[in-house]
Amino acid sequence: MNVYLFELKLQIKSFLIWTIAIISIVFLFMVGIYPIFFGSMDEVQVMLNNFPEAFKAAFGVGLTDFFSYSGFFSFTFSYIALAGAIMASAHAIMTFAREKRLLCTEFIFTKPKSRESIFTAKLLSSLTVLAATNVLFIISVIVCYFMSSQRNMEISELILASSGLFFTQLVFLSLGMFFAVFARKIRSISGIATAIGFTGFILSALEGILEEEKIRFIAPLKYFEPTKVFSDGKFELKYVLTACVVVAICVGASYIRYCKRDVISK
Amino acid sequence: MNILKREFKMGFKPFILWGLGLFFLVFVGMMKYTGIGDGANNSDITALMEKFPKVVLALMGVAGVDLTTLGGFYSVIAYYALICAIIYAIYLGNNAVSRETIDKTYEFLFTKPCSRESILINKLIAGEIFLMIFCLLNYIFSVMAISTLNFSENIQIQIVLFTFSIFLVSNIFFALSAFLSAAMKHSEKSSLYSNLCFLFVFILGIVFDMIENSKILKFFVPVKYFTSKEILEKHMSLTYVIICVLLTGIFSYGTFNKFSKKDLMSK
Repeated sequence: MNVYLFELKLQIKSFLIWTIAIISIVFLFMVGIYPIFFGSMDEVQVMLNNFPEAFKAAFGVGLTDFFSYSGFFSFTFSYIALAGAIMASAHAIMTFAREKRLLCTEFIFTKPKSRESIFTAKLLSSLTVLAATNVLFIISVIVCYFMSSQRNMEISELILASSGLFFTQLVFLSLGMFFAVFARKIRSISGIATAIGFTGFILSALEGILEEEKIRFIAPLKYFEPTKVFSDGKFELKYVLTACVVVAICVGASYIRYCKRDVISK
Repeated sequence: MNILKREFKMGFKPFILWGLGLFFLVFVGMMKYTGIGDGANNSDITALMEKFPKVVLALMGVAGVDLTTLGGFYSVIAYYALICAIIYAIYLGNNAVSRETIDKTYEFLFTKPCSRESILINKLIAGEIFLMIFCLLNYIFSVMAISTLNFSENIQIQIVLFTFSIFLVSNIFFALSAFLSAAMKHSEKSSLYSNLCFLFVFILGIVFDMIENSKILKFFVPVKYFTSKEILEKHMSLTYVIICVLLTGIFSYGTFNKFSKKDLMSK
């Protein structure tokens, strides 16, 4: 319990920074920009009327879908997921490499507490932080939705779609943990977390422009995409399974390594 | 000279990793381009697109460029290369100033017959050279990737301009992160803040693409100083080149100023 509380205390500041960042992105886009976007629908409609028929057919069909609340939410979500991914990896590295960075591994390992239970306590503390962030995130999504004038979707779908953030963060938590436990030396937490997050972002962007299905398996930010929830009512099973496998492997390997590794004296 | 050599040795492994990442990005990215719309009606599409509100274009993922042309497609890859370069630059800047503090080896270094300024200059030069080679690699990879595609379109000049803009913009972040590391007490905090700055700028960049009158905002968004549209027209705004150089200069000056007086903590 002590380890858990201690880790929680040390994560609070970073938790506040990231949660505020994520919630401000939600409000900036959904309350600030969506009305502008929706307002331009009429303008586009008028313009499309002057276009040749072929062009209208290609573009005009999905006009209301394109301007829908859920469509814009999916767009926004990719950036929220990016921030969430950086946050999750930062927290994982922060907790699991703390002793390694401060060179006080001996201190904690000589306490009357097994390595296994230390690992579990650390993991639970990170999970608590992520859960808190996500509760606040989902609340702010719902608040934004009720502030909007376009309330024409199932609120349960919106909640399910936003819960994707938690699962995305879980994947990045385990990736960060894997890195923290296996790296020989960690100089900067946020540098590595940013690199991990943006690697995921660039991979999913590549998937988007290349339209190559295979890349999606290595793009964790695309595992829990909201668009699928809005169209099918659930996440895509094969990517959910991929996510489970990634989490299981990373957590399992980290657990074994953390409990068995030699303490480096220098 | 010894410091410089050592810095090269230390920075070589991360550099290789970053280089591989860039290689993957450029080659995989360009591989798929098939050149759907080369030829006559490009200008029509661009003209049509200009009439749309910016927010709509941003959501379709095309902010002022035509993705069917080779240049337009490349500009997307170049933007991601810019992101990579910036993150690498932040790492290099932080590393140059605070690695010795993190590794607790600065006492060893600062007792050598070498002034703090000359140590910092050597470290910054090493970082700068890594950054330059990274940009150069971006140029080489881009040219190679495009030449394997065998397209008649020639975008050599644009690639040079893109690479140059990547270099200029990533330099701002290099200097900024060095400055923050020198100015702040804790190395982890400075790295957190320089990375948060970048994330903030990145999000602002998206907002920048969406709103119509974003002239004032542009100053705060280095990633959009040189827009793809301008570069594809073989044009780089001189004002922003000067702003880049100025910002880099100011931050570097600040770095030296702060570093020479910095208190080094024992823990």
